[in-house]
Amino acid sequence: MIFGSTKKNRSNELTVIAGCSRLGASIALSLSSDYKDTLVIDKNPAAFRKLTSYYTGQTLRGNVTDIKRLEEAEINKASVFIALTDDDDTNITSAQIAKKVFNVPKVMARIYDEDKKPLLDKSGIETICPSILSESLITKFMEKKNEG
Amino acid sequence: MRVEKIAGLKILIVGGYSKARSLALSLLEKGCRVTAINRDRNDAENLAEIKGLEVILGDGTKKYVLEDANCSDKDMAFILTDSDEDNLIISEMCKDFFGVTKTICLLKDPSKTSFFYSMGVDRVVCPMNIVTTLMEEEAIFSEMSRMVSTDEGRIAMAEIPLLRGSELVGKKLWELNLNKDIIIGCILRGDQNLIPRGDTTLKEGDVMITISSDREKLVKFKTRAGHEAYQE
Repeated sequence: MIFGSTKKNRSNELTVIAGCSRLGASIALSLSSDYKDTLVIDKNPAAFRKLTSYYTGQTLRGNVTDIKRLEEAEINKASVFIALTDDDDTNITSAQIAKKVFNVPKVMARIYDEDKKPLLDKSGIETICPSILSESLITKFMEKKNEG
Repeated sequence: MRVEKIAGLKILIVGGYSKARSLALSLLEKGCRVTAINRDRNDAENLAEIKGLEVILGDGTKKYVLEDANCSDKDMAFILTDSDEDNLIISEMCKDFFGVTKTICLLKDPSKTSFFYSMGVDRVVCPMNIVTTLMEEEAIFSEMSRMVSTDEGRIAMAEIPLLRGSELVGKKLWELNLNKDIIIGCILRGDQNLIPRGDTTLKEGDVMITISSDREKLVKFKTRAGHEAYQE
């Protein structure tokens, strides 16, 4: 069952966000405020509170690696799938399901443990690794300080 | 079936306490070298009381823990944690990072069976209650597992999953040049059962119910489906 807005947006670019984490919720919010079709999936409905009342997209309660559930949600029609739960293995698995089973064109997964990044290297799935990002920002910051 | 074959095999068991325990005991008895990874201190200590079992205390979903367990040296990995997702990723790490020949995964959710096979898991064991029996069979009968022989006709039947990277993926049945002694009786794809025709295209993750009058030919066919022929 999909709850939330029944209004069909004219832009048919559906973005699916797996995991209503803080990052997931804030990206969903900003997409929905741009009038983009958005679907957020989380196993815990309490997590949807982070979306606030400004969110106009859809929410789906369910496990993000549950193939049947994803099928019901018509993930195969999505153009973007972003896995943003708090668990690396869940993110990698759901991203692989989105790519392999549902052929979603653009798939991205958040991976905290950079050791696991190579698993997705040749899969056509983009990865985002907070520790690598932080590291590069910190390095930039240090260099800046040296110049100053 | 020849039990000597598995003596000396190096086996890794990740997660699962009671299942890991009974599996380890039985494999050790058959002469395997077994390493178990468990992240619970109590469980790990209890496992360590088994004579001859090497135990690593740590989270098996971490690459460095697998490294500690000398994963690149292992022939086979049994992955038994409570989480389907963790099991899949551990299997992928064993294969991609450490070149483990065969991985056997525990799976709670049967609808992911085909998906797990398509991600390169060699054997997915699903219903919880038959888990230990099946896994033991996997170790002992390796190639011949899931092979049923009828009494009179000397006909052998095997469930053969089509693995990632097999030359058969994407081919139509008539293109396979199958030996006359083999037929594919049925294809299990996800929830569906397909009765194959000449123009049926094989997909990775399909489970082929294969029937033959010659066991050797079944084993050869299994190699074509992407399985390692390490038994020879």
